[in-house]
Amino acid sequence: MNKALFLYELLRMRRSLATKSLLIFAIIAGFYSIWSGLAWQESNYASLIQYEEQLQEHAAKWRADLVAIENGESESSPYSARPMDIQLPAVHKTGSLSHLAIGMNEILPKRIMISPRRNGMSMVEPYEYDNPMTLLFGRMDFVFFVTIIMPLLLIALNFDVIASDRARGLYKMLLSNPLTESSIIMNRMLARSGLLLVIVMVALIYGLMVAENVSITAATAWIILVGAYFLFWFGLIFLLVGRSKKGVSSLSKLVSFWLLFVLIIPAASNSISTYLFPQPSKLELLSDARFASSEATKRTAELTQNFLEDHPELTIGDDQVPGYYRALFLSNSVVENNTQPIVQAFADSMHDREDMLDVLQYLSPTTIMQRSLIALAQTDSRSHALFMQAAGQYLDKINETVEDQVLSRNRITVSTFDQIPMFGDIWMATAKPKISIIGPFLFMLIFGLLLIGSSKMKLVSDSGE
Amino acid sequence: MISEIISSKEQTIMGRNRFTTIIYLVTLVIMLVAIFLSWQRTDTLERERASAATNDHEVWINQGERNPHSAAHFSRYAFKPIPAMSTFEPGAIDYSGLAVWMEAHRRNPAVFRYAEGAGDLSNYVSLTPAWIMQVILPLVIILLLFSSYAGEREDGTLKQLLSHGISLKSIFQGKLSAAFYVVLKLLIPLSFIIIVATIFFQAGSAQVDQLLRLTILLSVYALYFMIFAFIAIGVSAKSTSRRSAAITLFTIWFVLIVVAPRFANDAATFVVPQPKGFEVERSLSEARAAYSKDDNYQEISRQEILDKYGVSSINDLPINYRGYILQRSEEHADPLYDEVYDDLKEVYERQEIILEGLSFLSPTTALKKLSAGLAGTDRIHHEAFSWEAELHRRSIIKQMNDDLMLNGVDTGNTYTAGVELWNQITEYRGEAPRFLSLISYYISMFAALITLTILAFLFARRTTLSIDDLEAIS
Repeated sequence: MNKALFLYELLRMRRSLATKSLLIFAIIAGFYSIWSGLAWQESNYASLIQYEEQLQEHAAKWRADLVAIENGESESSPYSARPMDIQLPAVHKTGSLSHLAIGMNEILPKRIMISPRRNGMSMVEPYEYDNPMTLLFGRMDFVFFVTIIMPLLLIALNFDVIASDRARGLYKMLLSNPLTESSIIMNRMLARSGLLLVIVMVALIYGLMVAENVSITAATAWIILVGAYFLFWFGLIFLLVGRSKKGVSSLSKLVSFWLLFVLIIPAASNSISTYLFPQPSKLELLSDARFASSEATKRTAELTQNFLEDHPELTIGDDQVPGYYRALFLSNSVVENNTQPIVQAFADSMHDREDMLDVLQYLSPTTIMQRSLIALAQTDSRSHALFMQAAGQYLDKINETVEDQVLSRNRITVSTFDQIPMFGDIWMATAKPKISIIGPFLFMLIFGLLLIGSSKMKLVSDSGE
Repeated sequence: MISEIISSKEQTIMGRNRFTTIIYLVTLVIMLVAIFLSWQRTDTLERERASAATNDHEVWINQGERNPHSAAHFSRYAFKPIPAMSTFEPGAIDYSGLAVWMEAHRRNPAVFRYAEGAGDLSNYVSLTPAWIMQVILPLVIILLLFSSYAGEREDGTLKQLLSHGISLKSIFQGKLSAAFYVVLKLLIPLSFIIIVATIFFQAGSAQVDQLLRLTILLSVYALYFMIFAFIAIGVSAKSTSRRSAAITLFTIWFVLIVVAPRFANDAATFVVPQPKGFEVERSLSEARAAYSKDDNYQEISRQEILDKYGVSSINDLPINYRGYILQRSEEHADPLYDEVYDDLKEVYERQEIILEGLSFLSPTTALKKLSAGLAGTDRIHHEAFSWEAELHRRSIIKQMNDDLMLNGVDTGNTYTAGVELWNQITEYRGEAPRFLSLISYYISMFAALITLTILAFLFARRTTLSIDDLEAIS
């Protein structure tokens, strides 16, 4: 009987123009979101690769000059192959699934020029060339589709699963058969929602397959999270449609829950965590850096004197090299030291906020999903903070390598330069945070099952009455 | 008279309905929370800006004795003033930089975007008063009006009305009047809160311009709400039941408000891709280096100064030649920088033309742009700030170069200036442009919104006046 009901519902769906329209919309929106993300990712990667190539070309030219000088060929100018002019790229390419979850990646800096001329504050070149209006409008990636559009489609497909029959009196006729109220709703909802789940999963699997180097673990994590999120909404709709006598009342309630879970709680959670743990002022950081830089410039002579007193062996150098190089290097060290506390405050504030959101996210499965998926795609703030930290370490490493030679106005050797690693090696060696989806997955799964279970119990007891 | 009775009946029913009261109260509470959070953010940004400007002045004045060209490299920062109305509509202010470094040889973009630290979820939704007005309130209007005709039809009261000889026009007028009531009941308290938040929480703004902007802003939102009220009435009149009216209206809300603006943006950035940051940087570097490669310009510059002082050799000049050349190199680079930024601006404008075209399909797309423009938080206002900062940069660098040129004659490269020169640099005091001076940028958005309002009205009028329930009776 259940199977017959399920098949009957599928037949009804075939005849319903509204249902067909919704499912076609789901197919278009799902695949469009993946295509849109792929287009963005391709352009992003191409841009980063071009940037890397540009700087690597510069580094190769710099090295060729150094080789020529070491080989005794005449230097083209006193400035040739000076260690202060080393420029190496550090780029944040994010995970291969970033086309599914663009996250913060569109607005945060992704390319850094690592050079002894820069300090931690100035190593990020200006990158704010995007149209702010298009950033404001946002993009429709797969996370947007699955967390915001999918639940509403599920509501639209199911809100009148039983109410219309109740209104027409068909429901009592159905109940005269050996069927429970919950099994009628469940079978109908399974038929109505099943196709949507298939569409979502096919779109997701397509999105996973077109990505390069996706691990089975990451792909599985995406699939089970989307499945659990679907189950949560299925459970909520199951609970509410069974209790509503009228389709309109069920629709109003479901849309209200959608608003609450999808829009209001995530927005409020984000605003509250930002309010309680505000990011330190970047403008204050700027003021500190400028003050430190100004003071260091004033004290250049003193700083140089102190250094040379500590390192008398480094006093001999090439007088043709401007003192500006040495002054800039020393000034960068001072700026680095003086801005360290506020840079640390930035990191602490971000971690505090994220820790709070780790708790607040359980107020809404949508928040859980959005945070988990962008973390899996490495397009979240934590992943970016790690990239900035790795870039800072890379800069420190290069500075350590060239320090003595810059301050003594000498060049480094080719073999010393060749020992400088590429940023990719540093990034690979950086310990990435473990992203556990067990908690979010179990929460949504249990929540969804509880909603279905409690609804079944209520409907069975009502039928008993 | 009949229409007044119908309107009064609708209002009475809404007044008695607990659901309606709850919706109003919840909306008001969410709005108050959003206003508080938004105001707190605006206030913090403004305090940080004021503090940074003071610190920048202190660091500049106390930089000690220094070569003016070295000081020009260090230079000053211009900090973007935060518009008072950003409490209501932060618009694109979070996505555009807050400070411009006005250094020698470089025209920098504005840096430090607030959105970068605003949390991972802000990319999907952001609890601001404007967001509530743009997204939630149309839904509230739909919830309050979807049953206006469909409910009467389902309950059989529409036939009763028609059988009493009441004209469709009177019913339409009554329903319309009730819709105005719904919109005003939402708009009046919210407008009051917005006006208070905007005008009184931040003093010192150009009040007349602010009031003009506020008046237009609230009128634009009233139009926006009326579009959804007309659509709700029209769809309700077409629907056979509350259920079908509700499904259709929620779908329209979802497509127009949630999907269409993002789709329009995707289309705009796909057709006209965002510029690659490092390529812009490279163009700016080339502009910077162009002087050293332009032998002809260098020769003309040299000859002009020799002619001006009537000497035949640089060594005979009564000025510091390096200072002169530095200034000429700036003047050589400035139009090249302008070209790069004009190209960038053209890309933005082409993207926005697509957005504007698609805004005829969704009032939300038009409203989002218009709302940010009226609040002074859109790209146009940001560019006005950037351009003012650039003019200020040119003025600072010229002062530094002129000082080196005129006073560094005997001392050459070892010349240093002091606090007297630093004090001569005027502070950057950017002011938001008057809205009327920028109104031409927004004409197409106004046109889109007015066109959509007229179309929605005609749709509501046509569907309500062509109801055939009367035929069913006869």
